[in-house]
Formats: sequence, C-alpha cells, structure tokens
Amino acid sequence: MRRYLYVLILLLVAAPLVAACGSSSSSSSGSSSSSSSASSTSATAATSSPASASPAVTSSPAEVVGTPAPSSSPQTVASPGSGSLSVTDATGTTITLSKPATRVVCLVGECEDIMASLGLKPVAVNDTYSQDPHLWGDAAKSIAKIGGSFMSPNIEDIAKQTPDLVIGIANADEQLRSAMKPIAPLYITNPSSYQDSIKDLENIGQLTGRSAQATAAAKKFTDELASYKAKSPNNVSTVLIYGTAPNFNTFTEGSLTPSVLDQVTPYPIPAPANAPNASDREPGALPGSLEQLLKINPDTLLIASFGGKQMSQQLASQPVWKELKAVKDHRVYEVNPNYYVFGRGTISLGLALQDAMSKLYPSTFGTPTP
Amino acid sequence: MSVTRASPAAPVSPPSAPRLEVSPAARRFPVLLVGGLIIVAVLVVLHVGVGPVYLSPRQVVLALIGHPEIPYQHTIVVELRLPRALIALAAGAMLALAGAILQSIMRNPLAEPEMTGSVAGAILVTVLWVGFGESGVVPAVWYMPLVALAGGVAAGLVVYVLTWRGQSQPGRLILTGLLVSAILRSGASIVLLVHQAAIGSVMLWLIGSLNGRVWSDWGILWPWALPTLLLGLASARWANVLQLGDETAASLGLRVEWARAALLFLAVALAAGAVAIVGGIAFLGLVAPHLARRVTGADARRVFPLSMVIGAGILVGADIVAQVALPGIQLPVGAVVAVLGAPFFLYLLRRRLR
Amino acid sequence: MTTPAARINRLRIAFLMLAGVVGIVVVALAFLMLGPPVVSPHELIAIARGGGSSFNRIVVIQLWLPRLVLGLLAGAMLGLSGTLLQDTMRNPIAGPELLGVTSGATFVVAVITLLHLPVDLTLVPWLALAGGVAAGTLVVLSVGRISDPIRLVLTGAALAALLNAGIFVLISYGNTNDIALLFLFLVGSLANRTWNYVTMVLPWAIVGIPAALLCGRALNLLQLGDDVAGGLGLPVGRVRLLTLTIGAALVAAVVAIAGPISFIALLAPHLARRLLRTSDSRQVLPLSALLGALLLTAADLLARRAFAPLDLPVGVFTTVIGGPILLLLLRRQLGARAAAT
Repeated sequence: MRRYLYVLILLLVAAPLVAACGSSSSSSSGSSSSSSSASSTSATAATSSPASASPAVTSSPAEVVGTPAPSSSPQTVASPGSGSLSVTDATGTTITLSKPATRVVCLVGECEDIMASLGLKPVAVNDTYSQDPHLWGDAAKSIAKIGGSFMSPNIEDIAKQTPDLVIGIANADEQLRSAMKPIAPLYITNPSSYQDSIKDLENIGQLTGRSAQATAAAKKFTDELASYKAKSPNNVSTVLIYGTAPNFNTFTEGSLTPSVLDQVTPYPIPAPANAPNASDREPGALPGSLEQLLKINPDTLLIASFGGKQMSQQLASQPVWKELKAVKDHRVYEVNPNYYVFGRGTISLGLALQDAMSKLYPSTFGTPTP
Repeated sequence: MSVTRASPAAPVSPPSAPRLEVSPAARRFPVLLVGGLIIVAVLVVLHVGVGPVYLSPRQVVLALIGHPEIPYQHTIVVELRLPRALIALAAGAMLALAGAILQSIMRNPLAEPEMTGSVAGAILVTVLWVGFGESGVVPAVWYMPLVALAGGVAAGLVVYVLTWRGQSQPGRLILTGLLVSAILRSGASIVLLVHQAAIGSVMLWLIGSLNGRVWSDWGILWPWALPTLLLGLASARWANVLQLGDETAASLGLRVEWARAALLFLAVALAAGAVAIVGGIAFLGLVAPHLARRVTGADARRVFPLSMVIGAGILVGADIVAQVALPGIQLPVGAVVAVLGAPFFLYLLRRRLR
Repeated sequence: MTTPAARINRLRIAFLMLAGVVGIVVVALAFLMLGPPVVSPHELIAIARGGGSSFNRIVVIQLWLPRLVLGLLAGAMLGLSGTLLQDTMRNPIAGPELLGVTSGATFVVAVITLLHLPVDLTLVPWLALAGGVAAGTLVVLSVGRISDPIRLVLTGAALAALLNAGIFVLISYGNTNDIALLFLFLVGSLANRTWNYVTMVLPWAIVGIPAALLCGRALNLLQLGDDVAGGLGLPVGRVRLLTLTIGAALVAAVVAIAGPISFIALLAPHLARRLLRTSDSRQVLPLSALLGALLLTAADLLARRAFAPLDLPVGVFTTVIGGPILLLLLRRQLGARAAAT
C-alpha cells in the first residue's frame, strides 16, 4: 500500500516538473527554464539577484529582455550594440532594451514624476500621486490602477498591462525582481540625493527614447536650484521630519529632499556614519527623537505628516515641543508629503523647493504659488 | 488426515512485530487519501484559474496549452499562477509533514514546528544574512534553504540541549521551544530595526507570503522538497514505534534517542526548506496533522501522507482566499492561515477536553 | 509571636525590598545621566535644584524623567499583573502575553490607530482593557484546565498569532506607507513618550497598584485550592474574576501607552518568588512590582544606548534578555511538571 502511495506522490511531483519543462520551452523569455536543472537554476538565480551576500558575486549581472535571450549562461553582460538602450539602476542591475519603451508601469511616485517630465504617461500606476494636478491634471484619471498594496503590488495586474518597462522602488519592489522576469525589465530607484533623482530621470529618458526631454527637465531643475541658491540669504536653518507621532522619522543630509534644501539653506543634520543601504526605505533617514531636535534646535521645522493627522498638533501638548525655537517663533510648517517625501522626482523636488523657500524666506521669495 | 483438526484455517502470524489493529480507520484510509488528492487537485486547478485578474476558464485552458487568447494571459497563468500553486502545494505538504513528525515523536497532538524553535532560528539566520548583505531582500538563490536549515538546526539543537535531562521530555521541549522561538524572533527584529534594511518586504516574508514566487523559486524548492518528503514518509515506521513510549520502543530494539534526534532533524529540514521560500507560516504544521489524526487514527504510516495532502490543500486554499477575499487587496497568505487556523485550533483545544 | 525563622524571613524581605529600591535608584540615576547627552552627577544635582544648562535641563526634565517615570510605573504594573495572573490561575506560566490579554489590548489599539478612528486619547486604555479582557476570557474558556501550563501557553500563542495576523490585514488594507508603524504594535516601545503619556497612565496606576497589592491575602487563599478556599469562606468565583480584571486592567493601560512589552510580567513574579523563597503573595506582590520596575527601566536604558544613535523599542530587549532568564528559572519547574503530564 505504501508503495503505491510513493508512486502516486512521485507522479504528483513529477507532473509539474514536466509541465514546467513544457512551459519554459514555449515561454517567450528564456529566463524561466529554471526548473529543468539545478545548474541553470543557480545561473538564473545568480543573474536575477544582485545580492552580494555571497562574496563571490561581485559584478553587476545583466537583465536582457526584448532580445532573444541567451539560454543559461550566467552573468552575461549585454554588449550595448547600436539600437540597444542600456542603463544601470540603483541596485546595480543593468537594464537593456532593444527599442524605446512605450508602455511603462509605475510602482512609485518618482516614476510618475519622471514620466510627466518626459511628456509621457504611464499605462498604470499603484498610488495616488499620479492624481496630483501638477502632473497630468484631469488626464490622469484615465490611467489604469495596479491593485494590491504599496508594499506588495498585484503582479497579475502588472502582467495584464503588458508593459515594456516597470519602475519601482527598492524595499517594496526589489523582491519582485524574479517575478517580473517573464513580464518586463524592472528598474529600481532609491534616490538619496537629487543627483540620484536626475540620474534616474536621464536613465528613464534613455530607455524611453526621450533623452532630449530628460536633459531639458534636468536643466530646468538645476537652473531653478541655482537661481534660488544665488538669491537665498542662507541663514535660516531647517529640519524635515515625516511620519506620525510619537515615532516619527528625521531626514538627514544623506536623504533626498534635504540634499536639495541643503543647497539653499543650512540643514544641520549630517548623514549617518554608515552609508545608506541600497534598500533603505528612506535613505539617510533616522528614527526621530525629540532630544535630537532639541539639541539641534533649528530655526524652522518642516513636517510631512502621514495619514491625515497633523503631527504638529499631536506633539503640541508635549512640553519639550514647546521648548523648540521653531515652535516658539511659530515657524513650524506642515508641508505636503507628496512633494517632500513621495514624489522623489524633479517636478516634486522643484515644488518642494519653491514651497520651502517661500516659507523660510517670505520676504525674499514671497508667498508660494499654488 | 490428522486426528486433530484444531489448527485454524488462517496461519498464525508471529506476535513479535507491533501490529496495530486493522481498524475501520485503516480501511477508510485509501478512500480518504484518494479523496484528499482529488480535492487538492481541484484546489490547484482553482488556484490557477482564479486570481486578481479575471480570466474565463476557456482563456485559462488556452493559456495552459500554449495558445493564449492574449499573450499576457499566458504570462499570468503559466508564469505566475502555476508556479505559485505548486509552491503552495509543496510548502504546505512540507510544513504539515514536519508537524506530523513532531506530534508523533513528542507524543503531543499540539506540537508544531514553531515549537522546536527551528522556524524562528531559520528566520533569524536568514534575516542576519539579509541584514548584512547588500540587497535588502531575501535572495532567491539555491542555497537559501541551506542557510535557513543552518539556523533551524542551530536553534533546534539549543532547544534540545536545554531540555536534555538524560532523556528529552516532550513537554519541556514544547515550552522551551516556544520561549526560544520568542527570543530568536526578537533577535530578528533587532537586526531588522538596526539595519533598517527592507523591513517592508522582509516583514511580509516573516508572516508568510507567496507573493511573487515564480519558477525560479520552485527550482529552489523542489530539490529540497522531494528527498525530505520521501524520507519523512519512510520514517513513519520509526515514528510509530516512538509513539508507543520510550521504554516500549527501547525494548523493541529501537535506539530511542538517535531515532528521535533523526526525526527531529528531518522535521527541521522540512520546515526550514519551506520557510526559506515562503516565510514563517504558523499553524499549518499543527492543524493539518491534527485533522489527519482525527480521521485516520494514530498510525503514522497513515497520518503522514494524509497530513501532507491536507496541508497542501490548506495552503493552496488559503492562497486563493488571500488573493481574492478582499477586492483589490492581496493579503499575505500567512495572515489568512493564522486567521483561519487559530480559531480552529482553539476549538480543537476545547473539544479535546470533553 | 516571632520565631527565629520568621525573624530571618522578615529580615530577608526587608533586605530584598531595600535592595530593590536601591537598584531602582541606581538605574534611575544612570537613566537620567547617560542621556544622551551625558550629564555629570554634579550637573544633575544642579538641575534638580533648578539650574544646569538650559538644554540639559530641558532634556532631562522633559524627556528622560517622564520616560523614567513611565518605565517605572509600567514595569511595576506589569510585574503586579503577572503575579496576579499566575497566582490566580495557579500556573507558573500564566502571564498577560500568554493569556492573550496583551494581544487583545494591542489589537484594539492597532484598530484605533490604523483605521484613524476618532477616539479620545484618554478613552484608549478603556477600550484596550475591553479588548484584553475579551481575549483573556476567550483563552481561559478555551483552555478549561487552567493549571496545565502547556495548554495555556499554546492557546495564548494561538490567539496572539491570530491577532497579529489581524493587524497585518489591517495594515495591508490601510495601504499605509509606514511599515515602521507595524513594529509599534508588534513590539513595545517607550521612545518619545513624555509627560502627557504619564498623565494618561497615572489614574490607572494610582488605582491599580494599590488594588493589586491588597489582593495578597485573597491570592494566598486561592493557592490552597478552590475547595479549601471556598470552605474558608472565600467567594472563589468572584475573587478570581476581580483579580483577573485588575491584572488585565494593569496590562491594558501599559499597552495603551507603550504597546505590548513582553516577559516583564512573566519574569518578575518568578524572580520575586525565587529570591523570597516563598509563595506568599503578600510578599511576592510588592517585590515583583519593584523588580518589574527595575527590569523595565534597565531594559529601556539598554534600548536607548545599545545601538546609539538608534533608539530601539524596549520590547525586543525585554524578550531577548528576559527570555533566557525565564528559561533558566523554569528549567527545574518544567521538568517536574512535564514528567507528570
């Protein structure tokens, strides 16, 4: 009796293997031949994960989709021949397309920001940042929605959109890399400075064949930054915190938005000693402490509150809060987290810059434009 | 013709081998097993056919045979749903078998892999690996089950040694295992908080998630699943002997401590392999063998395969629920198993006392 | 009539209480002085007198002092709660986290926070209490034979897993961007808790702590067994309900301000019993309050300084440190009990 059981179970297990072999030969991208043998599995796995947890893996592996894939040789770096577009994302993975991407799925606000800068529209998004009036206005309503949650977007919805390119953020979407392989190449961003954000802009511009627009948008931002820098009195310090009370977070100079603010006004929190991890959710951010805020005691305080509740109100009842110089001078400002935290692109950074400057130096820069 | 016709028609079997009676449960067993397999097959079919994106049965079948109506349907059905269903199948069977083995050797129907500390150990070592590595996610490489196993074995050893008292006692094992699990999980939390590395994605993995598991993950899982499952089934005989009690087992010629240690290791290997791919799913190793035991008695040769089938069915079913229960939202499968499994377990506890 | 043994006993109790108080004072001073920023004893005295540099003064009085007070109160409340539960159930493993009380209270607080329900802050502990009592009742009803430690532990663990899964579902549903929020409900933390949190918990402490301490005599009777206690005139059912409710209330208040902090409630009574070498609840209760306060404050100090400048949640440290200690303490006890099952 037991023998029959074993045979039955063997059959049950063998059947999917056969199915796997069958499906892999008929699937378009060659990367799913992983189940046929252990060696090709490790090869595919090695190319799919940029983890350098094992010291042997050092070079950045290549992801080649769109051209007939080489079978299972590991770490094949695609030679960028003529007509192929190749860039490297925040995790060191190389993404190569044979022709410019037209259907782009955005899993993070920075993607939408970039697409708007390039004059394009994504085919689907998974957040609400796309509805911001500065991007596409009413036209944004026609963009399809990816279900799931921010931390785990629905992959089937993404597949349904048949994208050429998917853009996500480390920490939420890096884990989906192997799942994305049969669908589209995955470009991961995780900017810790505005230069990173501009690099993402240029990379995506290249991948969509819109390098000219990318360069123009980048120039627009850097010009705006330079002009603010020239005019700024540069004597009002500020700190940007975000999240919800009582366990909020503090951005440091090693974070994206302060890298912009730092150019035009003193930002007195240096980046933490250890370099930001590639998958840090908010690079350079530290768990916030009132003691640290008190020690630094900035002239002004910018607060990006999540979830609707204003942190300044929640913290107002705490006596130590009232000791802060910024609170005493009534220079605590609630700001839009879309521009200061979630946007991450040159449009939102520009809006944040405008907003911050008008709040910090109202006599020089006047009231902010809506 | 001899004078005495006293000898009965059937030959008398030697009384030395431990024979468990041929109860109604034993007779029912083939029916139950086949029935279970059929149900699991149906669930797998459902899993492939049902998902967040609606596809008609015709579209699903077309996609399966390689002629999809629209190309993306092939991607969804064959590249996403099929491997996910298979992984759920294998991981569910592995976790259930691990629980069945543990319940046998601990002689406690409330035992599960979490109680050996090995699940938490696997999690801690994996998190350490992730935390000190450069990417912040659990990498899908072939040696991850080994990493998880190392952690699981280390933690299991700690628990075993802690409860050693000339001979290991099941009751102490469970309590110590739970405490050690709590400690190790807290250790994993510390690593996550200090390194701030990808808390989000690892978090889902901590509770158990099948999101994004594709063929490459299956390729890592099945070479681990096949030998451990087969070994586990083969170990049923030893488990039966151990269930009789330490003294009885020893008198029957079994080296009790070695057998128990070997079976423990097997259970840890099964659990670690599953954890490496799908994360720390709780309750499966508890509920599935318990149900199997209910319907088919205590014979491990019956309980082991049946709990595999039940475990596979539960995980596949839970994954279906996880994907479609709340519209537009995908739940981590571990949350669904816990929400369904915990009340059931509480109910079991209550009933057992009557 | 004091026999020599009784006199020694009294001496021991007095010594231990004194040692406990001294320990608390030492840890408290370290808490205030180690900051950050590090404050010298000289400066600490100056601050107490009303002087000191303005920054240090504000930090010590407005940040560390309330956190210290909160740690002491919460620790004491947890220690008392653990003793109440263990003695009422005659089970050495009974503790609010294992009885599901902590999980129930945490779940309610999580629901309120994640769904942004408009609940007044002072109302939260009451709702947490309701959740904790409901969960605890569920556990006790499920287990039946409440003196069996393993059964109790498993049930409590099951309920905790269920409610944790529920929290996960809530977080997934809410689509919140803030995963760190999840940790807040899975692990207890005292970070950034200032005086307004102290005022929130103070009424519960003022009522709960003395109430718990007064239960000593009743608990002693309960420990003799239900029949004996009933025969001696104790309304067993009602008393048990009362002590369990007080225990749950103490825990609920702590959860409402700090989240689920584990192991203090389990550990403090055991340590107290070990040190006192007695199970007399009238003595164990106050000592476990002291020990709980001491343990939690020490753990919080560690949480703040171990990985500076990161301020980690104290809950991970109580588990990582308290767990092994509990294991050691329980080893002998578990052996005897398991052999009997």
